[in-house]
Amino acid sequence: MSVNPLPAYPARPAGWTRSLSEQGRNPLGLLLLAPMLLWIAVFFVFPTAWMIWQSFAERGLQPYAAILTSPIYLKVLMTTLKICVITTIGCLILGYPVAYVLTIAKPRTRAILLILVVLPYWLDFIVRSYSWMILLGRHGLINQLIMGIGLSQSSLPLLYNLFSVSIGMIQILLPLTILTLFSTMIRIDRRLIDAATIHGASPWRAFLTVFLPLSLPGVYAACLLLFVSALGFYVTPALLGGPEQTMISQTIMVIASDLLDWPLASAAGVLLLIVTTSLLLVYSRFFRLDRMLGGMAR
Amino acid sequence: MADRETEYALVTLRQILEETRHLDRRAFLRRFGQAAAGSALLNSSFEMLGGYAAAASEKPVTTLGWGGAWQEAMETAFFRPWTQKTGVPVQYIAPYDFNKIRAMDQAKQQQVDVLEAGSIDTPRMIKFGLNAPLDFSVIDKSALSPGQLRYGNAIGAITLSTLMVYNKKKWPGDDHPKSWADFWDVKRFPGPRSLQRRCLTTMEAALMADGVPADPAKIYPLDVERAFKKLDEIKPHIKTWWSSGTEPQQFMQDEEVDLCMVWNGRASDSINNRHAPYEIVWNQALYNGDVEAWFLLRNCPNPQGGMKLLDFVGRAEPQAAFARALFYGPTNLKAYDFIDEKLAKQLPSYPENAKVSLLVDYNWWVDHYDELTLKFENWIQS
Repeated sequence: MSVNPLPAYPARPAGWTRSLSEQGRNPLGLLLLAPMLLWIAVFFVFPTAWMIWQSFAERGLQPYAAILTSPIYLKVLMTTLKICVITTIGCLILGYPVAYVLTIAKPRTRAILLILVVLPYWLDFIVRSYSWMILLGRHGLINQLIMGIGLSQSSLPLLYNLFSVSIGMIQILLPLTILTLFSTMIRIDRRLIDAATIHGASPWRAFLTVFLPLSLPGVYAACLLLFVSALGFYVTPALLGGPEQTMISQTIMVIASDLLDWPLASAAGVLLLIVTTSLLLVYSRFFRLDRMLGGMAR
Repeated sequence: MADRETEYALVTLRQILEETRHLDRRAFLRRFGQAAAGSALLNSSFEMLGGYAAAASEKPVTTLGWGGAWQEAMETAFFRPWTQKTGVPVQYIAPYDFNKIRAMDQAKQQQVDVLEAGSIDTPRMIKFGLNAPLDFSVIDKSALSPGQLRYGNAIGAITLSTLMVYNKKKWPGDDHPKSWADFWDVKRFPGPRSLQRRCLTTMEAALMADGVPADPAKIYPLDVERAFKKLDEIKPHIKTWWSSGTEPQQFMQDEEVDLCMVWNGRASDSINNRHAPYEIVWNQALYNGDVEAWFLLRNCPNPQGGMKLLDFVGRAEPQAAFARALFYGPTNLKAYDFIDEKLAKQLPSYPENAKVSLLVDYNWWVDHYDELTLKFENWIQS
């Protein structure tokens, strides 16, 4: 077996990553950070603070009480979390092998495959969701195929359920999954796998004991990105789901733009923020965030 | 929709650049101004250039609307003819968002002059006091129908009915669904169904299905418990609950459901223009009467221009043009003089249709909508 010609990811010089506080002491670092910090302050911190204020300003704690005592919000929140978990797992199962193939492919093939992966990302959410409606419908392509080859006498209910919502969301988030995984996998030194095989490990064994553990930071990063992106989905569950698949953004939308109740909508948003932030905190206790997002272990 | 507007603007820009390659600056701006009159986006960029051409000499009237096909119809029927007549451009902002209007009012920064409000937003507009009083020395009352002035400081706009369509392929003969009771009768008329995901109109349909006659005096105040009990019956047979108006059109064109609740204009568009094999049932249609109305907003930037526009939009001829474009009926009954019989029969305010419909009581709804929406959402998800 020949040594993989792919160049190993160059080791970074010592002290390449420095903590934010160290960066802060460097005036140039602060200067470089300033535009982004300003951007975040104006377009994220300020609106979020305004939303939190808005949730208390008019009626105090009443909106929070209304949300916590009404069964509907907790139900929607649980549904949202459930759909996010399903989407994340589905994306990982489908995306991991593709990312792996990308890392072992020849540069030319890889370029073509990457284009194929990224291409659907440029299509609008609504367009992609509507195409699923056409595919999965009562007289849609898939049902015609199933009935045509005699697998079923009547059309199957493929649309307006958990199945269609998951499939739509997985398709939309798959490019993100693959790219995140790929960026980690490409940095794994292929010679380590070769070393394992030289020492007698089967290819499968070498994958399990060497490649898989080394690719896990990418998996954790993908989990995080997917979960957070899935939380905010609105169009896909609205078009492809039934009432049982109502996600929190749809409910917040109804409260804000149909009922015009901003304090209640803000409170629902704040509660969502609290839930996701606590999930992230728990997550980062177990998996080092800085490491999986590309930093080196210190 | 915003993307389409951008794309349209870019195409126009490209054309202008192509045509004006050899012109001097003054001539270029004149040509640019002509194109800008037709587009809100170009219009705003044009204003930044300083306004050399005639189009910017008049302060535009700003309105907020739904965008898409609705915007096209509005421009064709109302805004373009009015701009041609008066020289005042109309700036159209999409999408419609009543919240935006209220937020701008609260911030004392109202930037919209004229709003065509609909459904529950009309009584809300009056309840919150967001509108300005109308000047009937500018607006000619004699050109209007009495119903158009029902809300005092508003001009009746268009009429819409939420009604039922059935699949004609499935029930080609006389034995087809004819009422909400038939919609609920899954034994006699089996097949997937779709209703709107909204308490308003769906609850009235349930009550009529339960035997309450299509008479506002008998329907309102709504018997909420009875309506939900009846909705429980149909829930397992509803394949999907739609939220946006394009969804039922998709259902009709793909024959996704056999019985569907839909807005009449959307239904006619699918049937007439997109070959959906469906038939409209006018019996027990949920008719919104004169509730869609044009308002002038208080503290708006161009009240004089807005007032003049309001004198135009209620008139018979533009309303007829709008009906021709989107199948929503006129509130000005004189408009039927300009509408042929075949189209007239497809409009909610056509006397034969209005007679068998239920007039939805939005004044009742404005005080109960919030509470019932939450109740309905809770019910639908459990």
